[in-house]
Amino acid sequence: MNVLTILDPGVIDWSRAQFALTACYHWLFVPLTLGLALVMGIMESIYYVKKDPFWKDVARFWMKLFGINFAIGVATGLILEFEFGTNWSNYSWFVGDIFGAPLAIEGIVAFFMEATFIAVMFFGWHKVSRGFHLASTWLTGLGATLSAWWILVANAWMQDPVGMEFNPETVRNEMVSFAAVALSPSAVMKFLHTVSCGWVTGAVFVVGVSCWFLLRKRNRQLAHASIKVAAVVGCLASLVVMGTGDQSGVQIARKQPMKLAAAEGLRQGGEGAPFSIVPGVEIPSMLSILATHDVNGYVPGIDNLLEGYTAPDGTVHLSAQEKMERGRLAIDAFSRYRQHRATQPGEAAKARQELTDHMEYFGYGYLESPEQLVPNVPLVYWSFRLMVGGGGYILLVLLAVVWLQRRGLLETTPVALWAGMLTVPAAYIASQAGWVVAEVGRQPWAIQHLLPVNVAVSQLTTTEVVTTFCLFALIFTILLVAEVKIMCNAIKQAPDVRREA
Amino acid sequence: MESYIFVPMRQLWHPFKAVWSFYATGFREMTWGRTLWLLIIVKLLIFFGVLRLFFFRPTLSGLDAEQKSERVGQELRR
Repeated sequence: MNVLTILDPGVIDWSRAQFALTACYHWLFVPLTLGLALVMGIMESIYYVKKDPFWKDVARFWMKLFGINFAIGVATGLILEFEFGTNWSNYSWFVGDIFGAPLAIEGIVAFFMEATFIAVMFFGWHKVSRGFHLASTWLTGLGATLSAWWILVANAWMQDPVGMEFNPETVRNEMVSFAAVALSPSAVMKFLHTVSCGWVTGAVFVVGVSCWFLLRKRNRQLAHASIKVAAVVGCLASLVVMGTGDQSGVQIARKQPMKLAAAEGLRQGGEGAPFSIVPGVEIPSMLSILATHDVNGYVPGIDNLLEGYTAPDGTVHLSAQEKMERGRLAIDAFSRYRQHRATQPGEAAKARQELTDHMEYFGYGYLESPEQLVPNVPLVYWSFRLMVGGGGYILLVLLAVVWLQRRGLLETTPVALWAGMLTVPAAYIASQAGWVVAEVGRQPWAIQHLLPVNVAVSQLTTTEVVTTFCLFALIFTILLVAEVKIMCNAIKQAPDVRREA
Repeated sequence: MESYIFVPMRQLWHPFKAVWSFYATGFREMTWGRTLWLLIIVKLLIFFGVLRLFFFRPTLSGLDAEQKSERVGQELRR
């Protein structure tokens, strides 16, 4: 009896939906934490250098909003860990300590760094020196950023599993190189892209709220000073997002070509592949440039990946059917190893060698048809456009805001103020869409090439998962409403910070 | 005699007292932070007291490492 024959198919979809709901909810708070930490750190640094109490008050206002966001968001990530053990138990065991080590480091770093320095940041204004307080503010942000690093290392490993070896005795992957896991190109790019996206979110939040102040003709000095810092931070961070996004594209083209093909809706690839802006509107050769940094670079399409192809450099890429055959050989060798390991060491050794030979195709053996390798193309395609379009809109608006403010025209241009406010939802939509591209685009894999979601999932009933899904949706909605209400109240009650005459 | 034992102890105790006082004063003087702490406590109670306890029991809990390998190994075999 194996998991595929007895699993309730609804469990997979509901478990995925539940994980997506939790991750999307968690991601509402993380980017604002990362971004506000940077912006308020810069503001407090200005206070430290200029010794102007005005900047202290400005920093303290944004620190208050940071605190609200942090308080509501804290521990929401824990639910994801609950779900690993309950809904994804096969996966949790199979990944072994590779996933556990980064998460444990994240827990320790988050607890000690953030809990220590966040207290100094909020309680220490009149109790510690200005320098110590400033260091605590930056260390709070650094703690949050380091937490993100370890979480993203774990996520990147699922997209590009490296630095491990599968042990059929324990049925776990064992880490053979911590450096390979922690510093894989996928992990580094994912970290830089995600964290810089957080910086943009924090910056546009500050710009958006400040634009609202200016539209209401209140807190003018606070708003102008905040925009002066945040708009520049947002512009620079947007450039980092674009640069790291470009590098991520190259990385995905190498490691997850099906995700790239789905994001482009590209059925037949080739050299000089076009980039689709929207269906029917294309830029010739642009996809090749983005994916390979070569105008004639070869980009495989969905059909090429399913049927197999030979790259221009002569490398033969197997068809999905061939990979599935090899995957079945690996699973068969795994079964024979488990069966004979205690009684027939010779047979077991032979089976283990066969498993090692075909291990890179292990997960393909669980697929029933090649089409299962294709993710939801419309969802990935449009999410990609939302991500890129949202990012482009934000950069344009921030550049306009900087330009108008420098010429003293910002307050008299309501369109710019409204556009500035709209950057806030745009940032959230773009970053959530980015995660949809990353996670839906890698389906059917829980771990790329090794474990599809239908094997990673636990044997639960659909009713159990639907119950917890609904419970989560209810709790998360209540918490979100509470946060938005508290945040809006704090913004409405913003102190009228003014420079001393 | 006393100075050899008790004065260093007092000095040793001082940083802990200072940290305790720092946190105690901070919490006592909180204004809007009280609502947030209340929210955090309610949230943690729901997460750990309800969700973790009644809805999220790890599927492999109660098994030792050997049994977990056996269980997952069985599920991965075709």
